[in-house]
Amino acid sequence: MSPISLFRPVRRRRTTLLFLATAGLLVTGVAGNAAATDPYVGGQAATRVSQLPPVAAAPALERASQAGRSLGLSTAARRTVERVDDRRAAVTYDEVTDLDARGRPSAVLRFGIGGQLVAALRLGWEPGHGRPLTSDVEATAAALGFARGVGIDPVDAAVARDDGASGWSVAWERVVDGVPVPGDGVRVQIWRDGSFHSLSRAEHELADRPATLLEASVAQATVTRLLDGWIPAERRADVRIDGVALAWMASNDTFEPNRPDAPSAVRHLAWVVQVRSDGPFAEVLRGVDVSIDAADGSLLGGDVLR
Amino acid sequence: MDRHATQHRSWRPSRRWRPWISSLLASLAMLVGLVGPVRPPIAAAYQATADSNVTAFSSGCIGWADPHPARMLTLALNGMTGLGYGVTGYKGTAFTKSHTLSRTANDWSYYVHSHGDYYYNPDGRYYSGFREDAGKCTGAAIVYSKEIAAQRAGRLTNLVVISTCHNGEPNTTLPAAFGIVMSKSSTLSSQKTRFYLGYLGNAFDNDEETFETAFWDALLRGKTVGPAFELARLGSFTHADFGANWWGNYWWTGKAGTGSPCTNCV
Repeated sequence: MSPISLFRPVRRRRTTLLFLATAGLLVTGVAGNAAATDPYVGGQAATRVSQLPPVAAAPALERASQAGRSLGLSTAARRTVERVDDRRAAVTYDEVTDLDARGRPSAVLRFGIGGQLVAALRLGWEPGHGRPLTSDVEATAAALGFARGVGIDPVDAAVARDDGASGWSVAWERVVDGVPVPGDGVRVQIWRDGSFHSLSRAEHELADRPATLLEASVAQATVTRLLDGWIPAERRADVRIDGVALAWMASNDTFEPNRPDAPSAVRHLAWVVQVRSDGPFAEVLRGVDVSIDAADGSLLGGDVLR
Repeated sequence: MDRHATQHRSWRPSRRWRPWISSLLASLAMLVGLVGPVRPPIAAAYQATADSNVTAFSSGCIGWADPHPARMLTLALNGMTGLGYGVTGYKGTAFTKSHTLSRTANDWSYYVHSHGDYYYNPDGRYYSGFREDAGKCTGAAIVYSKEIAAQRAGRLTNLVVISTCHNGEPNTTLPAAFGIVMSKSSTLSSQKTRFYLGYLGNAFDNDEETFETAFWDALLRGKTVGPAFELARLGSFTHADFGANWWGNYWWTGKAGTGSPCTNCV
């Protein structure tokens, strides 16, 4: 094929794309949610924000008022509401900002398109002045009270973490079919005196569980072969497999830059093989988690520890 | 030398680039420009630096090309530019210890993504720091906090984001090197236009990118630094022990400059 015959189709495609893109802008408006056809590219704005007409904003404002009372937030003097399309996370929510009498933001509450509370945050560095909570049990009880107050009833085991002056963090990690979904679940932060700080919850779509699971040993063997190819021979002995566990993971571009910049919205069942380094090579790479698709053994993605 | 000038900040060296894209984007930019926001002109007076260690995570060093370091540099460049800094990005052979130390005296804001830790110094003590890139897989020099402190000679910084392991921990010596007191405040006048962000323990790149994407985005939406930090912390992180920390003024805008008369600023 001659260079000319290669070039001409590209020019026609460019004209067509320009027409379609222009038409798309006119039809959808610039604030439209185009995540499916317009994937997030790193460096672009991560969110698109649009104003809601009053009739659409009213339900979110009412929900914010109710949730704020349950969480003990200060009464807002005024509220604003915006629709936020988070292009990297592939989620859309209505964000309500409470303002105090001076016009300063005092809280942020986010509601999914279906009206469910997905995040709440009391703003300000105000660690609280009440009696400090002294144990995981007390912290978990307080966090659970806030969650249930807004209609969330976590079912899995809670993990409480003492964050010092920042208070306590209590998390209920989502578990499906006995397998954790890292990053999903409910997390509540409370100040040391048990007053409310923040709440967030996430629940990603899961791919179908494969009928037959790959053996863990196969995933480990796959990663061993990858490491043999990746790591320079003189440093290979510095790198070892440190563990393997099942988890629902996003695919990503850690090992394949041609993939989309954002992690996939859908989580897949994967063997996560933990690789860690010792010796001189640890200066370059402390570790990497390699996700192997538990259905077909393909390389799903990974996560690097510098 | 793969220095990034700020005018190129919106575009990383893209694997998806095609010749027709420039025409398409120019047309779209004209349309969007009619209804969309316009970025403020870059305030060159407020010099800032963004460094990212990409070489250690290139195929020549670890066997695959990890796209995170370059992408996080782009995020920082866009964020800092939007806040009014005259920021220049450096990576590869352009991000060296000598370059960082020579620029820091005049930096109002600083970002780095690299290896970070509490490192032993030849003087027999430990200091917080991070590694240069310098195009090296191994043997990259450590930029120690004491060296930054010496160059800055007590001058304050506006916004500092240290995107490494460990440098958000209570024993880090980097905030002081940038003239930022390790206190959380919305009232201290000495912290009026200061904010330092770092991570706790071992922080994985995916989680750092999730956090920083939300942090810069919130700042560009007009949130102040404290709320931007807290909104970023609401993200979905793969590692349950991922943690970030801050010191400075919760309610500061993050925008370049003194914000008010300041007797001890750059």
